Amino acid sequence: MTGSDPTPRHPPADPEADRRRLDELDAQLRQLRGTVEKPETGGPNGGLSHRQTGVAYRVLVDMIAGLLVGGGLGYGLDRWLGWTPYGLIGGLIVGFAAGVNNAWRAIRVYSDEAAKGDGNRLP
Amino acid sequence: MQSPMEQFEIHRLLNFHIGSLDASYTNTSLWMTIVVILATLLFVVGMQKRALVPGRIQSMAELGYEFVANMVRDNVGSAGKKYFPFVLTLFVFILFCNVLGLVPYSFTPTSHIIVTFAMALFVFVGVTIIGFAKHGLHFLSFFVPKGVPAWLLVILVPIEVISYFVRPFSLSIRLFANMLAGHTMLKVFGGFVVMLGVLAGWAPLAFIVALTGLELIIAGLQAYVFAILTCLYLNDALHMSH
Repeated sequence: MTGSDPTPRHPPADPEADRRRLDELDAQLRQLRGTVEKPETGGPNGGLSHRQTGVAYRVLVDMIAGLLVGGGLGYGLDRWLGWTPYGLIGGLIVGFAAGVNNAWRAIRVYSDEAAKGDGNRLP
Repeated sequence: MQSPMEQFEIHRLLNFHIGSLDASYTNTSLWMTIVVILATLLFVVGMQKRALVPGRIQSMAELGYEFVANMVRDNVGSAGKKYFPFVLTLFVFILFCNVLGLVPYSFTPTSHIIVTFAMALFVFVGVTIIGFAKHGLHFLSFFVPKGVPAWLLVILVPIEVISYFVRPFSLSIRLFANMLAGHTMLKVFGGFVVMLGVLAGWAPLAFIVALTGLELIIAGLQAYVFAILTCLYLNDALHMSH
């Protein structure tokens, strides 16, 4: 903040003046926020933000979990119905597709947000 | 030297057996109890004064509340208001588990997959019930992508169904793996410090300091990710939008 503070050093005791000073402070804060925080939302920032790292983790885990669930399901079918090894193979393929599907959905939401210039919000 | 995995061992503190069920009070139960008590204290004691200009503790409580409130409002909309207490509880619980786990000699309940999976399964089953309660059997059309020729649906519907069932797994694995990997890494580098001794042990020690900072970020980030994914799943169930 620049310039000397306009508020008096010894504030008056009555509550009316207190409220007026609070209102003034509020207006000042709002004005400062308007000038300082606006440019941050639009401009791209260098490097990976924590949110972007979050997206990367999410995509990675989505794909691994898809494989695990599909493989587990296929293995279960093999044990149950004696389809060895076709249940496991089919399960892995479907699981991989499901993982990619989830990952794709996560990325798509994120890139939609990024296109709107709000890319740092969602993981 | 201690194994880096020793920190994840569960010890019985009080023995309880209900029939054949082992319901002993363990160190993980103890730390979850501590987490619940501290989180409750933060909100109850912090908000006791209800000051217009908040003090330190009240400020923390308000920050957490507003953070989650904004998250729910942005991702679920006004329909999500009903579920805000649940998301806040989940967020604060996971955050406290993760952060308190970084205190030396403490225990991290979220580094056990059974804990994270129980929470993820609760979210998954709850969200599915909400979906069926809100839309009835029409909720099943969530698994049928729009604008796709009929013959492709034979392949796509199983994929969509499995994608849906992957959710609790990816939700729980993400949190558990992050916590497990972080704490193991801290212990491994701690072992290096002891091995290298006074002369060269400073390098891994400096690394541990940096790593602890990173772990603090991850502790917050994973709690955030868990909460926001819960919001996104809720949004899917309430509005059925892909």
